Parts: sequence; C-alpha cells; structure tokens
Amino acid sequence: MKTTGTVKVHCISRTLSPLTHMMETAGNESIINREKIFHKGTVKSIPVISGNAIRHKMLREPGGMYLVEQCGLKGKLTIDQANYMFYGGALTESTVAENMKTLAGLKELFPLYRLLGGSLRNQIIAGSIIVQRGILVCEENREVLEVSLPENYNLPEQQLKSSEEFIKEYQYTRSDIQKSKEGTEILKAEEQEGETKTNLMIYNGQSIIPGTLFYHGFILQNISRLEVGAFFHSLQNWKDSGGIIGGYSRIGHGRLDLNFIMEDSEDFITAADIEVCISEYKSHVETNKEKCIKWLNDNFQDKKKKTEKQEVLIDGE
Amino acid sequence: MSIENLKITATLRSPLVGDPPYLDALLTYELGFKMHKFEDMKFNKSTPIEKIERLPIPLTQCEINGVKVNSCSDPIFIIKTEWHDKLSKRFETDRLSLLIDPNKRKNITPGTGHLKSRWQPLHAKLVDKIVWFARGDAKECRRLLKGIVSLGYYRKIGYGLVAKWEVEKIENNYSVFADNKIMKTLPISNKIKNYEGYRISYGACVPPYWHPGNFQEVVIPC
Repeated sequence: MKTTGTVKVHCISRTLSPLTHMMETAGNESIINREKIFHKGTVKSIPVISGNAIRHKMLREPGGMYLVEQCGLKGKLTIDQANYMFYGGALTESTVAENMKTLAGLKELFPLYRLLGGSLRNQIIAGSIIVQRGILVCEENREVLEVSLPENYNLPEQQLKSSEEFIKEYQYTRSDIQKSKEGTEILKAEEQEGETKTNLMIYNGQSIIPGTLFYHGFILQNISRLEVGAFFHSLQNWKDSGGIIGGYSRIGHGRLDLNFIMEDSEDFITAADIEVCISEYKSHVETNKEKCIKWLNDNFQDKKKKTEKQEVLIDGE
Repeated sequence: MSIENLKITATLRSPLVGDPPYLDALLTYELGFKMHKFEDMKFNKSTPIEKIERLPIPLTQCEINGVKVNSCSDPIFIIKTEWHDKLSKRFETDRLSLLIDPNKRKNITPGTGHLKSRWQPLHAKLVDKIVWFARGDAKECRRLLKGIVSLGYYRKIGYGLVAKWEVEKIENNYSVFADNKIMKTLPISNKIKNYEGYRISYGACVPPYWHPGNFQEVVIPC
C-alpha cells in the first residue's frame, strides 16, 4: 500500500435555488459568468462556475474556519494570518526566500494548506490540488462531458437541453422608507418636508434555474491520507453549512446539492477509506493545535516585533 | 529503448491560459519529479547553468551549431477563439472582522497594498488539440506524459486540463525539419538559412527554457 498517491474526484452538482455567479454588469443588470466553446462550427458562450469560486467556497473557506475553531483562534488572528488562511495570502516582503524550516513546518502541521498552497510573506508555496470548472450539463457541452465523466457514466443518447434554456432573468427591488406606507409614521416630520431624493432601486440580472446540473471535479496530486481527510472534511463542512456558491446567498441564491464519485486507487485509497481519512485529519488537528498556533504566530509576526527580536540578537552578540 | 518517429497529441477539455509548453520541457519536468530531482535542489535564474543537470528524457538529440537540441517540434495548435476571463480576489473584511484580534483591527485599503482586491483579466484561449512531432521512445514518452493532467497557467483553477494523451508512431521524422521548413526553435546557423518559415529572435532552444544561461540568437518557426 502506497503512502502517497493521486486521487480523482468527479462531482455532479444540482442547483437547488437560482444560481447567480456573475461575470460583469451591464447597467444595473448582472451578466452570468460564461466561457466560450466551439459547437457545430460556431463559437458559443456557455455559463460556467469558475474554479476559483469552487476552490474558495468549497475548500479554503470551510477548511480555514474549521482550523480557526479547533485552534481557538476566533478573535486572535492578525490580518495577515486571516489573509493567508482564507484567501491564500500575499507576498509582502521585497526579498523572496526559501526557508526550508518554515516550509517543513507548514507541510507537517497543515495538510489543508499543503493541498491548497498559498503565499507566505516571503515565499510562495505550491499546492497539490487542481479544481475543475463547473461545466453546465447541456447539449453544447456534450463532447467535453463525454471525455470528462468517469468510466461507466454515459450521457443519455437523446438530445440534452440547450444552455440558454437554463438561464432566466431575475429582478428585485430595493425599497425606500420614504416611499413606503410606514414611512410617514416612522420618519421625523422634517425628513418628510420638501423634495427628497429617493433610493428606490430596481436591479436585475441573469441566473441559472434550480434543477440544473453542473459537472466539476478535483484532482489531488501526490497527496497523503491526511490531505485526503482535509479535502473531504472541508467539502463536508461546506455541504453542512448550506452548500452555497455564487452571489445573493442572503436571499437564498446559489444552493448546490453536491454528489461525488471518487476514482478508486487500489494501491493507495478507496471510497471506503474516506471516513477514516477524515477522522485521521481531525485527530491530527486536535493533537497539533498548539504547534499550529505557534507556527502561525512565528511566521506572521508583526514587523515591529520581528525587528525588536533581531535587535536583541544583535545586542546579544 | 526503441527509437521511432512520433506524433504526440494532447486533447484539451478546458480553455488554455498562456502558451502550450515545449515537449522536452514537459518531459524534463515530469522525469525530474520521478527521479526526485526537485526535492533536494531548488534552482532559479541565478543558478549557474552548468549546475543544472540535463535529464535523460526519452528523445533523441541532434547537434545544430554546437548545441545539442532535443528532437521535438514546437507545440502546434489552432486557437479557435480567445476571450478574457476574470480572476477575482477580495479580503472580506465584513466577514472576518470578528476573527481578528481586537488590538489588530484597523482600516485596510482594498484599492492598494497586499490586501488589494483583484479583478484580474486572464487571456483564455479555446484550443482543442496541441500536437508535437518528436523522435524518441514511444513507451517511455507515454509513461511520462500520463502523469501530466493539465498545461499552461492557472492549472489550479481548472485551465488547460488534458482529456487524453495520444502517442502515435509515424513514418516521417518531422521533429526538427519538415521538407524545407523548420519545426523547432533552433540556434541560428548557416544551415538554417536554407530553410523557410521562421523568424529570428533571442531565447533558449533547450530546457530550462527560462534560464538566461541558455539564451542565444535563435530561429522560431512561424
């Protein structure tokens, strides 16, 4: 049995509410995110969920939040630590270094960040996961889907629906207290006098209708069982917290029902091992939480503190 | 090792960002991992080129103007359409403010600095297939290429995914020259001047292609 290997996970997600994953706006209308594909001799723009959104919403955010909760870091993080844990961090120092000790510490303590990679203040760390884009299951995408779906999973032979049939327009209104019936009772008398500017606004855009299917997937390269655990645990946390992707979640948009199929790798891991891997990951975090906090504090020190420490060392010499 | 003329095809299933890589660079990268060459050695542009070992990839070499180049053509592909995708990033102060230590909470400027919000354009290309002609060991090439699941930039978010690799044996050797055309970036020499379909540039013609130590006057097929 190998201790490291590559895992492929295929997902089919069904939208449970309108999905609003916007690309740009035209006036006050949001335009759904699209990619171009070649279908029957013409180029068509088809809705797509970006890999960037899937990566953040399904893995980094729930995974980071779990670490914050387990390590008791709520209300104790610095801005740079939060930026690293939830958004992948940024290079902030002018000199790039490759500190083996820091890297080894990160890789040993944080299977999640070994998987996702990111940027410390002075070094970039490569991840080991490839997050695939969410492809709409429609006739135009048939060719791509046929080569992407796992073995033994075939599309129906009859024609699938066209992508445009999955798109609808939504429209909402932001009301203004001055225009509402209650306004006259609530507002001060002087607020109601004279001409006032109103904030009443109609906004609209495109969304994907509920019941639409998206195919996406993950390729986890050269990973250990702990990373498999971190991956599935984050995915589980995302599902448990409502499984939201895209915008307007405050008004119920973007709920996804995710189903996955993991390609078995007989000499490394099978679908039956997932729960065991999650338990191993949870116990790893529980055992190492003090070390995790220390590592975060050591590597995201305030610049001022760091300089003071260096000065003490120089004085000591 | 049995040496044959090969046509190697990568069928893509997602858009490509950036340019497709050189075949010998890909094989070197994959072989480096298999030989654990990158574990104990980090190299960059300032590492002397003599210290970077040239790995035994399963392609033959031919000498042109004193440089031993690998027998593989530059990538050949057709861009069906191009567009700009957007990559967004925003530090969500609204969601994270309570997680931050009360003494460390401060105004941040999302318009500048390391917490700057991004709406970065990515130049995406719709490319169905990328083809390389090569001369080498088909079995070894197949074995190495099997491990490469995506090509180009931003692979981590699903660009440039490879649906399948095909390594076919062909009759003619089109790896470096085909009829009167050059197929590969080569060092400039008098011999090259007898061929057509190239432009003169400055760059590398052997891996690592990014290393300034390999830069010289070259001809690039076009």
